[in-house]
Amino acid sequence: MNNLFSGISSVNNIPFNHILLLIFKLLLDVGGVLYLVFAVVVVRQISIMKKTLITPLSPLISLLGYLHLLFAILALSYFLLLMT
Amino acid sequence: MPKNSQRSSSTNAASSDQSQKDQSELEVQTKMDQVSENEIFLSADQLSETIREEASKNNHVSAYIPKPKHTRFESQHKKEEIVLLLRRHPVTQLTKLIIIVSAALFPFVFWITGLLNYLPVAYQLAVGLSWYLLLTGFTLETFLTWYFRVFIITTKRVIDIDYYSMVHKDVSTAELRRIQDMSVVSTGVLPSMIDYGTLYVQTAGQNFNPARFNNQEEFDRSAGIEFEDIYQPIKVKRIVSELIESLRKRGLIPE
Repeated sequence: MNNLFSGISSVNNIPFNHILLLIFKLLLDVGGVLYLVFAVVVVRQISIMKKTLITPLSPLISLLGYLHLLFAILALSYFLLLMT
Repeated sequence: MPKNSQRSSSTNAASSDQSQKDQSELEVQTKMDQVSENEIFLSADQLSETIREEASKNNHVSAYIPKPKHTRFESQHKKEEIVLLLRRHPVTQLTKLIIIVSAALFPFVFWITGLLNYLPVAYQLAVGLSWYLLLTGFTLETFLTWYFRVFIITTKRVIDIDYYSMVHKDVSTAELRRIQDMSVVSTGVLPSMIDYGTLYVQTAGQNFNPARFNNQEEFDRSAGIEFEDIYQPIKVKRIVSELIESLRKRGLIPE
């Protein structure tokens, strides 16, 4: 039984937890990249929407889009720098 | 009188009516063109008594903005004034607001119960960060689609700018002189209490019978302009009627 668990808990002497965390990190990285693309699309869309309706709030709404993009960049950076 | 002669005379009468109608339409069109060429400016106050009594608003995050200041739209003509700028009533966003608030509080459940304690702290932070990132995106998209999904009534046209999502834009326009009929639908307890509903605007050449459509999408495509869930729809309908009436009095719309 111990042998069986030892087979599951390690692959090539890498702890099983470590493999799980690595997969988890990869998922976060891929998700972060996809989200960054979405954040760029949002900024682009805001610039199109701003042309449709021009109000004094337009610069503020652009700022919201850029803050969102910054948040996405920071989050992706954090995911990329995570452990390993 | 022989039958052929009768037929011929009725055909002549019909063709004469048609030519008179065409002539009348041509005159109106010429007059409209002259208006735009000569830049005769008809203000919202000149055209509608109801709107004259309304104060111009400077609040741009509102669902009902009469004579909005410093606001323009993409295809606005030089001498065209925005009479009303409408958005869906904020109450219609209540479900999304509840989702956002609940989602914002959700990570605290994990934090209190310690359900993510099997993960290293850095990973727990990463999960929290991902959650709030998604929530920020959802909140921003909700706000943007609400803010930019506007219904505009000008001194010349009604315009419906729809954003069903960030990447789906649909703009419908109808000139005031083309409007044939309008109807207001307000169903449910909340719409009755808060006074919001949908204004359907039928334009020339459209078959306006909601019952003959199989689904909402089919109806939306066929039924002209639809001002969904707007505040005070009956008042808005009155304003549009006043605008049309004023233009008719000035001979810009045929009787």
